[in-house]
Amino acid sequence: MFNHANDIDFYRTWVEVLTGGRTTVATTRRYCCLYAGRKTGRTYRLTHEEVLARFGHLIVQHERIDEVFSPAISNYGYVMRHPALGQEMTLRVYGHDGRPVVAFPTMNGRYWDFEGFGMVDACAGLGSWL
Amino acid sequence: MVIVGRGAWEEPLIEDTRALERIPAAKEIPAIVDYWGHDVDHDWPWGRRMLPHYLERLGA
Repeated sequence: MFNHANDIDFYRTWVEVLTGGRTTVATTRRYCCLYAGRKTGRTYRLTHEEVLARFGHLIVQHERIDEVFSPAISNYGYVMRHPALGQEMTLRVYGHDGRPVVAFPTMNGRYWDFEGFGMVDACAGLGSWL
Repeated sequence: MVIVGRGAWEEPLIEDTRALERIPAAKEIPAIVDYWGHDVDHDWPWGRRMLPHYLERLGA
């Protein structure tokens, strides 16, 4: 979804950060990206074909999900994107140098949860490494 | 690196972790997959202990 949101190769970013500590990949976040999944055996208002007909212009990827991930994100997944979400998303940054660590909010969580639940303070003792 | 507890709210995630663990193992890709104790719940207090532990391990 990072790739679709930015038109980048996130795996390249990962390798660059691992090997050189920084990345040349610019993230412009041109698109808002959305994932929707459907589970086998459930009844949905729209059939797969109707989903494609109605939202095909937004869908950039759709495929069967490996069963390892199915309990969490369903059996068939659609990735959609559009330049306008109509809502600003927030990113909070701690520190000024060292190895980058990215934390994602938990389901239905917000960006301040990680700090609010003490996860940032819990890592304060790692100062020399971080 | 996949870390899961065996306490409250972890039950379905333990199954997922076992399934996930087989993939890098089959491809002979080194991965850290840890199952913490039965007192380790899927909740923030344990996250606060896990995160610095594994960050330090990554940096070593």
